[in-house]
Amino acid sequence: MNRDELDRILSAEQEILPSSGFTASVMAAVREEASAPPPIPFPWKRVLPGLVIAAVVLVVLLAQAIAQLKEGASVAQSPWASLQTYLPILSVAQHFGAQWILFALMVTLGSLWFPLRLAASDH
Amino acid sequence: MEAEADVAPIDDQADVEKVLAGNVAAFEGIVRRWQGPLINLAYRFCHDRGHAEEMAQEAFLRAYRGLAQWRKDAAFSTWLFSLATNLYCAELRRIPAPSVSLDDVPEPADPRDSDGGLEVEDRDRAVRRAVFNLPTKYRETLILFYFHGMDVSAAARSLSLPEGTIKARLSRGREILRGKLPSLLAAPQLKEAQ
Repeated sequence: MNRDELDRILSAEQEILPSSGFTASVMAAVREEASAPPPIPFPWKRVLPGLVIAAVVLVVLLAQAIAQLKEGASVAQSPWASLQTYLPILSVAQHFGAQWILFALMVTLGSLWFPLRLAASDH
Repeated sequence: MEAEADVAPIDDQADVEKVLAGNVAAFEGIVRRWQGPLINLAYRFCHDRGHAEEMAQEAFLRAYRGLAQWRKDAAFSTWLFSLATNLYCAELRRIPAPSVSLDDVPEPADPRDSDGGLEVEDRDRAVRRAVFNLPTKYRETLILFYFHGMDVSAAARSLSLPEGTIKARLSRGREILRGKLPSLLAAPQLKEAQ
């Protein structure tokens, strides 16, 4: 089969006419779309203060942790002593249930990662 | 099909401006002018009349939502076809065409018989059906090229690709088709698949 013949066959595709109600159906969908309320914008004004507070708390906690580590490092001489420095932090973290928070974070990340991986493998 | 032949760009621009000014009814002019080409383009992607109308309706809805994004530096038809093409291609990737795989078609016992087995009409249908079994990028390119009356630049604009890429894909697509057609034309189960 030569190229001209292939061109002829593929160019001569059957033409179809729109059904009689097509325009009305599209316009009904368009009118519905037009009458729908606009999408609710993300409430940045409400979220922003919370985000700022969270960021400040995070920075303060990090600063405190670094200060404690520096202080501990200057005192500690042996590996055992250095571990002793971390122990108060660990016990405080345990007091606030850090292990559960960590577990919950891992479960959340896993539940996000798994469907994303599944969706990616479909494509 | 000469998709863009009979439409004055000024009509589109006037209607778009009216719609953007709040006159939703003016969109009907756009639908009436472009429903034929958009449905036919969709039909070439799916070969199912009902599905083609659904896809065309979705294309019009997206056009309505994104009307303000038409920059007027290109013709309205170019923008509309590009939008519809993206939608149809995505739909085609999401739901693969139900057809016979070329790899499932057995080789003919005697290749010399392969041109005499079917009537011309059946053969033409088999060739069009074979386009559906091409890898997506070649299939999209072939559909667009022949839909636009074998206009490489129109197909390139619709797919937002350079003309060189379109030419290369056309060449490769035809090559694959020609390579596979002898076995396809000799396969009796093709009639059943249609």
